Formats: sequence, structure tokens, C-alpha cells
Amino acid sequence: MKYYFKLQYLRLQRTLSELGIAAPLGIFLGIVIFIAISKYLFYKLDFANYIYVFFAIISLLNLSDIKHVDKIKAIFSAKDYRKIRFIENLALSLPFVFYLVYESQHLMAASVLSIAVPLTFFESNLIKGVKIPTPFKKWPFEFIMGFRKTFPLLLLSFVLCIIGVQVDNFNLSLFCLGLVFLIAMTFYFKPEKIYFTWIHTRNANGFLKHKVLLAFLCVSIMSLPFLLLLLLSFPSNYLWILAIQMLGYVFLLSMIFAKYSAYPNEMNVPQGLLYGLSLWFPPMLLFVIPIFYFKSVRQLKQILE
Amino acid sequence: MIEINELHKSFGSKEVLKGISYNFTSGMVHGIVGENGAGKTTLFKCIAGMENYKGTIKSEYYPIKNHMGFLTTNPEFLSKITGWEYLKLLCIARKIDTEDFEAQNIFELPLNEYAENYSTGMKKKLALMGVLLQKNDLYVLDEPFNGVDIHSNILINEIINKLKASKKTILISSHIFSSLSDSCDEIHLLKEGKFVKHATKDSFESLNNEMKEFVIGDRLNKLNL
Repeated sequence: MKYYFKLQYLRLQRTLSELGIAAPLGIFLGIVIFIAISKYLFYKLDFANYIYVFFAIISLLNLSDIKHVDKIKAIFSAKDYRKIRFIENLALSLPFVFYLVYESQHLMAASVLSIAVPLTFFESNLIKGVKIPTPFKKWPFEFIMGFRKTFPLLLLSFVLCIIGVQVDNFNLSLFCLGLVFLIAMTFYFKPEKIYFTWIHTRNANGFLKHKVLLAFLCVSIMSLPFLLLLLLSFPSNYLWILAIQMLGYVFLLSMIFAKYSAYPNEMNVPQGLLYGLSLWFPPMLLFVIPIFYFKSVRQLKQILE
Repeated sequence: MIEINELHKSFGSKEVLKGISYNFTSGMVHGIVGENGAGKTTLFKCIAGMENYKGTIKSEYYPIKNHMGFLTTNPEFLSKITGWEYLKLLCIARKIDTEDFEAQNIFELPLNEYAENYSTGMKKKLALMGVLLQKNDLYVLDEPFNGVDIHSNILINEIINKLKASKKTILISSHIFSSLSDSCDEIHLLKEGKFVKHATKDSFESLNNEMKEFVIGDRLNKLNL
């Protein structure tokens, strides 16, 4: 069992080294980013504690995935399997628990722990074969995959958006609109296998144009309920709403170019940092988008032309 | 037609393909046989333009990749994508506007289920259906019979015959000699990165016997059965 956890650390170490970063530094950066995001969430939102618990449950559910569970079951005895599931769930829930305690959210912290333990008995084979319908069937593949994977999060965002309208909290509802675009950006995090790019007859430029147009069409459909709700509920703030919608398109465009600028590899740390900085300070995107675009064309030419 | 001239491919200091030259004519089925690691998949990836190489690969179709259907040994599938959506993706990639997949579903695949949950044979059949729907001119099928049930094997053989009759260029690799001898017009033996033998239909049996003799040799005696 000890060797299992040693192997998990080795896997993490190898993933980080592929990104060009030493394991201790990577872990340190992970902790800093986790704290920064948590702080930002609690600083910005009134209902941050509920969202935080929701994120914790979503993370824990990943450990109940049938593929993951089956691998452990196939190797270990029933007793060791139970122990591994318990240690994994506890290890993943602790960062959330510690931060909730830091924010004096003791009840929420206890809730996360009390959910983490029974979840060790849960195996998500129940939802393995269930096909979630999407409005993107005709435009594979990023939004079909992404929508199905993040469906609970999108649903929660919409519920929050409605709550924002009900309590007359424009910022909360506007945040939810922005969140839809952030979720859409995550659909482009991982590079797909080279075969799925190779099959295209378009040249590098045409391929990027095709990807961007599909992304804009799909994200428009995905954000439409949020946009309409906001425009109908806060008509006087229409400029802010449209500004966030436009900024969302720009962010998504930059994400697509950033992804293909390193393709078929994942973005390395310097590229990631440059991109992260430009998201933090959006005017930088004016310079960063053309850089990523030309790099994308260069990378894609090797596969498509 | 695919014309290969002095094809070399190395991975670091290891040369995998050592100067392959051959003209694969259209309207014929070319079988490629060879041991594991002989270079079959590397040869196919070079033809597909997925690997850099030295030498030339020419065809009347340019660029080759836009006219080529490539069935890989272990087809890759995206998660949370149904069989229908996979076929749609392959068609969109070639700017083919069709959604009539159920009518063309000759392997009776459950197209509304996630492709990642298909069995090995079903995945192979879905990937094959995808490259067929793309209406390619060149077909490179890496182990098309592997993991597929006997009924589908018969169907795949008939598909290959139909493609041949439509003057397509077809390259197939297989570990099962009988499946190749049924469908191929020529079989090429790839050994250590080189074609060491080319056989036409009338000499398939002697090639098979030669391979058996080479593979088995006196190895069985070592087992003391």
C-alpha cells in the first residue's frame, strides 16, 4: 500500500517535470495558487462557503470514478482497498477543511469531512454509461466533452445566477456569466491526440479559424441563458454585461491560441506564466494573442501541411 | 498510387526504416507482414505524414494525408463522445456534410453510446466506419482484423474487395497470414526496416512456408514437449 502512494508521488513528479518544473517547487506553487484562489473567492462572493464545499465534493467525486476504483480493486485486497480510498479522500479534503477553518467556517469544514468519509463507499459507475444530452452534438468535440464533464458546475452557476437576481446582487450574477466563459476555457486545457488534428484537410490558418468559430458559436449557446437573464433583470447595467461577454470571447480566443501554440504538447511553465499574467492584466492580451497565434500556426503546419 | 523512394526513418541513433523503395499501385491490395518492431507502423505513420523522414513519398493525391484513411492498430477515442459524434467529427474534418450514420451502420454499432465504453472489436469497427465515411482514395489499415469477430472479418474482407474494385490504393498489415492471403494481391515482408521479399498471389504459400520455417526453426525442441 505504501508503494501505491509512492507511485502516485512519482507520477506527480513526472507530470511536473514534463511541464519543466521541479516537484517541490510545483507542490509549493500548487499550495500558493490554491490559497490565492480560495482567498479571492471568499473576498469576492457572499456565498463563497457553499461554492467552496461544492468544489470539494466535485473533487472528491473524481476519486470515486469507476476507472480509478477498478484499478485499486484489481491490485489490492478488500481491506487495503478500503484504507486507500479513506486516505485518498482524507488527503484531498484536508486542504479545503483547513481553509474553511481559517475562514472560521467550522460547520462547513465539518460538512466536508463528513461527506468525504461516506464517499469512500461510493463508486460512480452509476453515471458511467449515462449520456448527458448536449446542444453541441453537431459540432464535436470540445464543447460536447466539456459540457458533459462540467454539467453540475454549469447547473450550479445558473442557480447562483438566479439567486443573484433574486437578492438583487448584480455582481454575483455577472460573476456567473464570467464563470461560464472560464469553464469553456477549461475545455481547451488538454491537447487532444494528434490523430484528431491530423484528420483535418484545412491548413493551419483554416484549422484555427474553424476551431475559433465553433468555440464562439458553442459558447454563445452555453452563455445565452445567463446573458438573457442578466439583460432582462439588470437592463440598466447592459454595458457591463456586454463587456463581460466580449471579454469572455477574447479570453476564449486567447486560450485556443495558447493551447495550439504548444501543440501537441501541453503548455510549458514560461508559456503558462505569460498566459496567466495576460489574463490577470487583460491589456497584455493585445500582444500575447498575436504571439500565440503565430506560434500555433507554426506548430500546426508540421501536422497539417 | 503511393510511390516510396529510399525511405529512411530513425529514432535517435536507432534506424527503424532503412531505405524502403516501392510503388504501391492503385486498384490493388498490398499486405505488409513482419515481426513486432519490424517497422510496419512507422512506415504507415511516415506515409500519413505523422513522422518526419528522409526520402520521398509521392502520390497523384496531394497532400497525401487529405486523401488517406488511416486505421491505427489501437484507435484512440475522446472521452464522453458517442459513436455518432465520433463519426460526425471525422466527417467535419474532411468537410463532408452527412449525418446519415445509422443507415450506413453496417456493423450495427450502438452509435448513441460513448465510444470509450465500446469493446476492442467495436472500437476497431467504429474507427473503420469513420475512415470509410470520409470517402478516401488511399487506405492504410493497420491490423484491421485484430480483435474483430469472425462475422465482421468476413464483412471487412468484402469492404476491402469493394474498395479495390473502385481502384483505391490499399495497404494492410496483419499478424494473421490467412487474413492477408485472402484479401491481398501482393504481400511484402518487412524485416529490420527493409522489404526483404515481395510475393504475388501464386507465391503466397511458399512465402508462408518460408516464414514458418524461419519463425519456428528448432525453437520448439527447446521446450521439450
